[in-house]
Amino acid sequence: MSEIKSKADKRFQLFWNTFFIVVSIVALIPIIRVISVSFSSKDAILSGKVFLYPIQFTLEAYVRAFRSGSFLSAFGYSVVLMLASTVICMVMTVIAAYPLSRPGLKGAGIIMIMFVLTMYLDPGMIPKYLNVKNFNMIDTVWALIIPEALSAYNMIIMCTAFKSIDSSLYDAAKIDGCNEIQTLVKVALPLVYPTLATLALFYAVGRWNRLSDVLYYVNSSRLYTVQMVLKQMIEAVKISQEEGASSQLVADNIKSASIMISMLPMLVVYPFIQKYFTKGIMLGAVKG
Amino acid sequence: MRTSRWLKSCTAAMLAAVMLAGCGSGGTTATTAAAGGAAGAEEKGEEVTIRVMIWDRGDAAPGTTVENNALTDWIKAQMKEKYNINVEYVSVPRASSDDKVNIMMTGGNAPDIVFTYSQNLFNSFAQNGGLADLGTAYDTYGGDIEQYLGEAQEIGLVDGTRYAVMKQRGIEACRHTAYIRQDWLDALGMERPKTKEELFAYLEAVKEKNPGGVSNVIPWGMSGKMDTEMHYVNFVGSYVDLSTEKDAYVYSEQYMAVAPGSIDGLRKLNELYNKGLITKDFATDTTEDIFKAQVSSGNVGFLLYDTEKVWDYISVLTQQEGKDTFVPVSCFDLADGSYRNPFEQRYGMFLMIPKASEAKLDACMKYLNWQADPEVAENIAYTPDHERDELGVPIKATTEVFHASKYPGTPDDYNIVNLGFAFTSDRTAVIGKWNKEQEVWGNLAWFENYYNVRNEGKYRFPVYSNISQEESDYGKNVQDLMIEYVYKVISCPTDSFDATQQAEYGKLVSAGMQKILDARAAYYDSVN
Amino acid sequence: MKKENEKKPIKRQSAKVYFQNTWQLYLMLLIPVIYMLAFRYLPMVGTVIAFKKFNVFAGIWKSPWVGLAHFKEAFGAAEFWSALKNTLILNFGDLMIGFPIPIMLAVFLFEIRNVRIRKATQTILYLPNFLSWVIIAGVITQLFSTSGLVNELLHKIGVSEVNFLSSPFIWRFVYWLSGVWHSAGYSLIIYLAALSGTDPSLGEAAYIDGATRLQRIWYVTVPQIRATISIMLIMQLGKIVSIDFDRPYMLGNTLVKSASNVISTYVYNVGLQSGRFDFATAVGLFQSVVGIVLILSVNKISKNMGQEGIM
Repeated sequence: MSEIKSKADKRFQLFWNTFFIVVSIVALIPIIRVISVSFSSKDAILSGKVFLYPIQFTLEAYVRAFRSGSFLSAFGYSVVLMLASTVICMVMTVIAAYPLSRPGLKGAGIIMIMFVLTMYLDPGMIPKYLNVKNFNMIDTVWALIIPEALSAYNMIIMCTAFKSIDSSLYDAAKIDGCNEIQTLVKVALPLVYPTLATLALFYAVGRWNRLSDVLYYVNSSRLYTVQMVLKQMIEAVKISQEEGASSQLVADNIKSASIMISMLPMLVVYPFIQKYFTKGIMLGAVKG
Repeated sequence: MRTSRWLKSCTAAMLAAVMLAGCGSGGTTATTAAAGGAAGAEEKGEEVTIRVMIWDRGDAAPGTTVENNALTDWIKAQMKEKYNINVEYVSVPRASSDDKVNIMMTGGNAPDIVFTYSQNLFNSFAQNGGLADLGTAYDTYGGDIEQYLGEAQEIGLVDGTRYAVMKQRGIEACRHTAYIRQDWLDALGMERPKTKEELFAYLEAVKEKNPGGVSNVIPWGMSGKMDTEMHYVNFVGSYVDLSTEKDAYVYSEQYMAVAPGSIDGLRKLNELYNKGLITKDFATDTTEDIFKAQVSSGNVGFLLYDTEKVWDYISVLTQQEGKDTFVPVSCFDLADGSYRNPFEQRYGMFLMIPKASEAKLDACMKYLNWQADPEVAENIAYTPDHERDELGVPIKATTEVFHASKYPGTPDDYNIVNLGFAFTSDRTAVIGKWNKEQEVWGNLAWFENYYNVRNEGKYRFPVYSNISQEESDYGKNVQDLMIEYVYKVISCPTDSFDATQQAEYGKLVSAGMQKILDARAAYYDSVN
Repeated sequence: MKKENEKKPIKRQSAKVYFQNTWQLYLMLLIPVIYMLAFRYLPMVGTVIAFKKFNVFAGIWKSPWVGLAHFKEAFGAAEFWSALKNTLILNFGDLMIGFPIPIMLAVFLFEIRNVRIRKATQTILYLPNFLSWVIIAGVITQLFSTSGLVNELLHKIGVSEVNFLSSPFIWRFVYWLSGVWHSAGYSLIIYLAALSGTDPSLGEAAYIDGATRLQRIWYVTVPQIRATISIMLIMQLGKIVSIDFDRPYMLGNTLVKSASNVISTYVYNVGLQSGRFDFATAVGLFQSVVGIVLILSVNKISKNMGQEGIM
């Protein structure tokens, strides 16, 4: 972008750079607190001393988390599950959104309404459970992939992205002898990389964080995701009213450590995906 | 791909289970009359496989699962040898356990033995025909249960039919205890209060003189935790005269805050709050973080809390202060000068067998009966490798030690029937156990005192297994609303106490509270 | 520009040619449609328990009918209406406050030339989305309680303390602002993705015409992502009677109940806690119906106004 490098421009950049730095710091405060707590000792946290930096620095919370029996295997399994699930979700999203974005497709209106309405239909846990059971997916890994394989919300975003592709590009493809599938792959997809990256991220994060289906659809502890294992660890405290005898408060540092651990894969992956939606797209092929 | 391997192995496992279950359909038809001992003790029948629920807390030893580890191996070996029963475990996350049990019951694939602490859940399953009738099986195979835990079993009967075996609690414990700062009492030259009046005098003195010299003196610390009445229920209860057993049942601990006389207690708390003697805006502290910080840094002079949970705070505080800080105290005197300190009931969990698992009834009962023996229970809860110390108290190993032997981190989860080990009724042993566990800050004298204070005014509310439809539908919501009621009524300005109290009480009634109380009264009358 | 191209002469062709051109599209749609029917619509059959007294063991079909009893109970409860009112208030607040902010952030962030600040800000602003409301509530209590940091600071500068967490009115602002903090990063990504698909040459044309930067932003950049904004708005409007459970439950406390009691917490308190799935489903059904009516209306209005619709 060739901006006129005036004083006004420099002031603008300075103001907004500062603004965003401040905003970022403020947004980080609670996260810094979680990090500090995760590296502090239980006693220090209990006395309310910990806020922005660790007090009585210790790694015991992390050690405890990693030693938790099924942690490492659950971690590996969860990553694979997340990747497989994301791929399936993205394929579903694209093959739903692309046809619906093509103008003039008969029946697209009805089908679109059908998809949109699913965002407002929630029958509750029991019918969903019985449905999954009827498909014989209970206690299988498919129960963690298929029931949430397509989000109408994400599909709409994808569809919007496809719609913004200028149709003259499609015409050009047609003239070149491409059928719809080839057009999708060669013309449409490359133009919507930012949206593809965005939605892949949303699906991946969604799968990584989702606990309800692991809780209800799965019985064997081998199919527990790492979020489930961490949650169990946090809930390991005995509720003294019910279970009598002395309880051990599960230290806040363990809770915080488990949060940091569960955020880790996302933080690692995110920078790679980020380049896809900060790249500008040259639509130089089309004249206004 | 990994996924299809899992699918195959899961399917294989399920098929295997189904086949084994099919084999053992007849169950134990052989008659009892084993050689001596409790009924059915050594009795082997046809091979049966039972699926037992086990809580998963994410702390299985590395390389093992909560369904398959050294402890389950030991249990399975014992059961196979004694009764020819194959035991399989089905893990249920400890968090949301009741929800999961509900869903599994709905889907018809619950394990053969399930359990819950919720009387509501048990009652709803029983009333709706979802549980197997345990009567005959209990009489035939439940001898040890009757012998060791008999007094706890009554609540498992609904309208005369037995639907649950009750787990028995261990060391008898009161629900809540008040603690006071001994060092501040000393600085003020006051004795430990034995009455509420003396307590009020102490609170005023603390506020005025700040004997600890702390930055933010809080005479009576409270938090805004929304799922417990521990901060006030014993205090308010001391204003209530439960003259008849009927009143005691109708109100019990859950509805104590609306029992006759409770208003005076609430009014008094409101007065204390407005004088600045209770944590300001305590009701906003829903996560308890502020409360914990205040207690652990020494700003609080008095609190009423779950009886043993305070020890964690005391531990931190004593290490900082280096002297005696909190001591337990019994000062909520009733109108006639005596005390009423509600204790836990003898029963804990409801152990149930779904109707769908009726064919395995006898085998399940044998499993439960086997665990009723305190020796067996102790071996399970502390693992078979455990040792006892000089007082006869089993030594609880650390998680690391458990994991090293491939035991799960919480072996006591497998012990679902009897917590009443041999030492739990021995006063010296119990005190010794506490002292050992709290070595960092405790001493024998402190725990002797604690034992005495705890038992002062020992009281158990009468309890029945019946739960009315109203209570089943609205009970939980009403109880939550009652906590809200109390917090609001304490926190409002004194001159709006009456208006607030009436408005909030009205909300309770429209949420169904009066109907619940009436139903309880009606039930009491019907059985007495 | 695009609208002219829409009126292509596809319709003039015969059915046979039409299908020759489009059969692959229908094939692609087949799997998602089957999925939706199997996993979204089929379970809806189970909502029939909203009209029954659900007995877990009799199952959905054998449980007895009670007609509209659950609906009557809900509509007759003062708590339900107050919950509905609070839900609407909180959601409108989110719309007024929380909706525009990510757009503004995205637009101005897009102008920053310093790539490191841009990328870092984007990453950092997305992080709060990972924290559950349990954690956030703990932080907020520490910051905003009467003995918390913010009030301490206010004391130091001589301002009397503010009842952030005990006054229902002020609490709402805490709710809205913490929502911004939590999810701005999420929406930010969507808008940034849309912005990176815009045509920079249009902006340059505007400069040549003498526009200032702000004018260019308002008249050229923002309109280019109009479709995205309008769609996000429609979807949020459609969800105005629905509300997350964790956020009001964790942020709320007994003193602000009159503002924090919303439909999701109401359903939890009165329905789910006591295992009354039938009642909970009835309220859920009510929300679904209202949501559907809303989304269809809002979508139609949007199209009539010349904006993009979802469908």
